[in-house]
Amino acid sequence: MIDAITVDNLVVAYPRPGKPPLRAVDGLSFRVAPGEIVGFLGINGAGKTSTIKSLMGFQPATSGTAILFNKPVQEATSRGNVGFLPETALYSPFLTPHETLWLHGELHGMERSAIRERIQDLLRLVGLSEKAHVQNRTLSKGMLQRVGIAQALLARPRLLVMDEVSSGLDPLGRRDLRNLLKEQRDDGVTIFFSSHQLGEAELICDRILVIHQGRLIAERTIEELRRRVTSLEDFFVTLVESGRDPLLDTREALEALR
Amino acid sequence: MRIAREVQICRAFVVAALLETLRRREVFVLLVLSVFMVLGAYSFTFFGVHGLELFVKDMGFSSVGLFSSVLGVAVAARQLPEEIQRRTIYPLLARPITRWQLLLGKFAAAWVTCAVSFTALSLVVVLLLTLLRIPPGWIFLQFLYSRYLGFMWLCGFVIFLSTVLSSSGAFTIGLLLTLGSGVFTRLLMFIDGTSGTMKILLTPFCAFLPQYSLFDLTKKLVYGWEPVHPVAILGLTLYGVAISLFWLRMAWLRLRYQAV
Amino acid sequence: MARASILLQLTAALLIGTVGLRTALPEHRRQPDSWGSQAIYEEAPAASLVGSFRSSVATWLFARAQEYLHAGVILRPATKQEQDTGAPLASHGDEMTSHHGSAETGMIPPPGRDPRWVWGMIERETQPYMDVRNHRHHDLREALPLFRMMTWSDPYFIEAYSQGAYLVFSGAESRNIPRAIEFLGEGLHYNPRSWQLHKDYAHYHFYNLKEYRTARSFYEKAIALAKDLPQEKVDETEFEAAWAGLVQTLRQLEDREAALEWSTRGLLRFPRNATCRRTFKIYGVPVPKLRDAAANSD
Repeated sequence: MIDAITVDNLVVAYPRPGKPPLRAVDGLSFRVAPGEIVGFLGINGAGKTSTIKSLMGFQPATSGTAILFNKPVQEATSRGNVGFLPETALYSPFLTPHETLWLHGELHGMERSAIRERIQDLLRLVGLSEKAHVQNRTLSKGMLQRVGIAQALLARPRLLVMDEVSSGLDPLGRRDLRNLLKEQRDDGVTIFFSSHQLGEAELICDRILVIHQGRLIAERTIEELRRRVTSLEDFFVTLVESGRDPLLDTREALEALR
Repeated sequence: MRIAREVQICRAFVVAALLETLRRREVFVLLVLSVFMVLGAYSFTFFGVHGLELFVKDMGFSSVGLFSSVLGVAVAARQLPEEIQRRTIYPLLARPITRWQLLLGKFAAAWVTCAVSFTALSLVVVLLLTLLRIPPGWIFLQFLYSRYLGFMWLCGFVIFLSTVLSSSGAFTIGLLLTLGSGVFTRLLMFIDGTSGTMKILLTPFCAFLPQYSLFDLTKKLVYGWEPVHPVAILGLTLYGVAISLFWLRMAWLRLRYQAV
Repeated sequence: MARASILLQLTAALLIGTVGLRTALPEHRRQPDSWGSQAIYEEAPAASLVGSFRSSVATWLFARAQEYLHAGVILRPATKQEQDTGAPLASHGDEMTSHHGSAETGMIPPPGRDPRWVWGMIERETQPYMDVRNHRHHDLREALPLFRMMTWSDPYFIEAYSQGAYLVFSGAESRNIPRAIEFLGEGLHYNPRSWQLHKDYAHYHFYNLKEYRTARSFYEKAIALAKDLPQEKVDETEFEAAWAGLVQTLRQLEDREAALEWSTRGLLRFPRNATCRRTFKIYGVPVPKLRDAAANSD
C-alpha cells in the first residue's frame, strides 16, 4: 500500500545574512498511511508551517525528500490528489465563492459539468449557498474559511492537508468541521493537519506527530495516549519543555538512539 | 492534451482577472476620462473654432493609448506580488499546476485584460469620432492589432519586473520604461555608421531594449498614413511573441525555486 | 441632509473657483505695463500659478501645431557629424520644405545609415514620421484652430498671434484676411507694447491690403517700441524688415522727405540695407556717407 505522505530526513533552512541558516525543519522523517487522520502538533515556530509548505511545494526543501502518493512534491502532479486549506483562508476579494470555486476547479483540470455539480454540493455542505454570489471581500473570516474548506474538497482529494484549520471558526463551525473530517476519513480520505488546538486533535486524530525546533520528538496514537496519560495538554507541555517524550521507556529510548 | 490543459489554466485566470478589473471599476474611470478628452477637444467647435478634426483624433487615440498602457502596467505589476502579499497564491499553487503554468496564466490574464480594456476604449472613441464625422479609416484595425502585440511585450516585461521588484517598484519602473521606450532607441541614433560589426552587435541588443513604441500606430492613424506593410506586421508579430516569451521565461527562472 | 451638504459644498467650490479664476484671468481692460508679456501673471499672486499652467498649455499646443504643420514628422537638429557625412536633411526636399534651416533632420536615419537593420525597417514602417524623407507640409488650416486655442489659453503668447496670422494669410483666401487682421488686433489689444505684432500688422496692411497710412503708423510704432528694448531682445533681421517696410510705405505715400530721412537713419543701423539705398537712387539723391548721416541724424 502506498503511503499518502512519506517524508525522509527533510531539512528546510532559511538563509540569514551573516549568520548560519535557520533550520526551521531539521531532519524530519515520518509517514502517513492512507485513511489516517494525523495531527501535526507543535508550538509557534516549531516548524509545522515550513513542513506543510514544503509538502505543498511552496517552499523548496534544502535537503531530504517529501513524497505524496509516490510522487515527489517537486512535480505538480503530486498535488492532483491533494486538497489544501491554508491557515488564513484568503481568496481574491473581488470574486464570489462560486467564481472562486470555479477558478480552482479549472485549475485542477476538472470538467466543467463536474465543477458545476460539485460547487452546488459543496456550497450546500459548508452552508454558503446564500452567499454564493457575494464578493469575498464582504464575507467574514469564518465564511472565508468555509470557502476554503469547499475549495479543498472540490476535486474529491485523497489527501487533505490543513494548516491551523480551526482558527477563525466558532465552536459550532469547529464541530461541523470535525464531523466533516470524520466523514471524509470514512470515505477513505487521508487527513494531515497542523493545529494548536490539542482538544481538537484529541477528538478527531488517529495519531499525532509532535514537532519541536524542527525535529520530530513524539509520534503516538491517540488510543495509546488515552491509555497512558490523563491529560494531553500535560503530555504536550512536558514534551515541549523537556524536549523528550515522557512515555518513551528505556528500551524505546535505546531504539530511538540507534 | 498539454496545450488543452494550458488553455484551460489560462482561461481560468483570464476570467478571474477580467471580473476583478471590472469590479475594481478601473476601466470605467478610463472610459469616462477618454470620453471627456474627446468631447472636450471637440467642444471648441462650439466656440467657432472649426477644422479640429486632426486635433480631436489625436486627443482621442493618444489618450486611449496612454490610459491603456498605464492600466496594462498596473494590471501586470500586481498579478504576482499581490497574490503573494495577500497569500492567495497558496491555494493556487496547491493545485496541480506548475509555476510556469501559473506564470502563463497570469500573463494571459494581464494581456487579455489590457486588450479588452483597450478595445473597449478605442471602440468608444471611434464611435464618438464617427458621430462627429471624423472616421478613423481601415488602418484602425492595424492600430488595434499592433497594440495587442505591444501589450504582450508590456505584460511579459512587467511580470518579469514584478518577480524582481515589489508591485509598486514594478509599476514605476515598468511605466517609465514603457512610456519612455522611445528614448533608448533614440540614443542609438548617435551611433552613426554602418559597419558590419556594429550591425551584428546592435541588432540582437535592440531586441532587448524596451521597444514598446514600435507597436504604437497612433500617429499613423491620426495623420492618415498608408497601412503598414504586411511583412512589417509579421515581423512585429514574431518579435512580440518571442520577446514576451523571453521575459516570461526570465520570470520563471526567478520564480521556479522561490519560496512563496 | 447629505444632499444639502453636497449641494452646499459644490456651490462653495463653484464660488471659490469663479473668484479664483476671475482673479487669475486677465480682464479685457487690463493691459500689462511692462515689457514682458507675462508680467501680468506676476502682478496677482493667485494668477501666477494659473498663469504658469495656461502658458504651459499654450506652449504644448504650439509644439503640437508645429507637428501638425509637418504632417507629424518630428525634426531635430542634425549633429555636426551628420551634416558632414551627408545625412538627409529637412531642407533637402521640394521648394516647400526648403525653407527649413539646413541643420534639421529626422529622428531616425534612412536605411543606408541605420545600424539597427530589422528594427530600423520595422520602425520606418510603423513610424514613418520619424524619417525626415517623409517630411512634407500639411494643409496649414489643420493647425489654425490650435493657434486660436493657444491665444485663448495665453493671450500674451505673441508668437501664437504672429504665426497664426501668417497661416491665415498663407491660406490665400481673401475672406480670411479680415479674420487675420482681427486676430492680430486682439493680440495687439493684450500686448500693446509688442513691436513684433505692430510690425506684422503693418506688413499685412502694406503688402496685402495696400493701406499705406495704417501701415505707416504701425511701422513707426513698431520701430519706436523696438528701439526702446535692449538690443539683444530684438531680432535684427526682423527689425531691419520693419525698417525697410516703413521706407517702402513712405515711398508709396510719396512722402519724399520722410522716406529719405528714414532711409538715412536706416543706413546708420543697417549699412547694407538695399531698400534704404534704393530710396536714394529713386529720388536721385546720392547715398550719404555714414559719418555725414550720423551728423545729420537726431
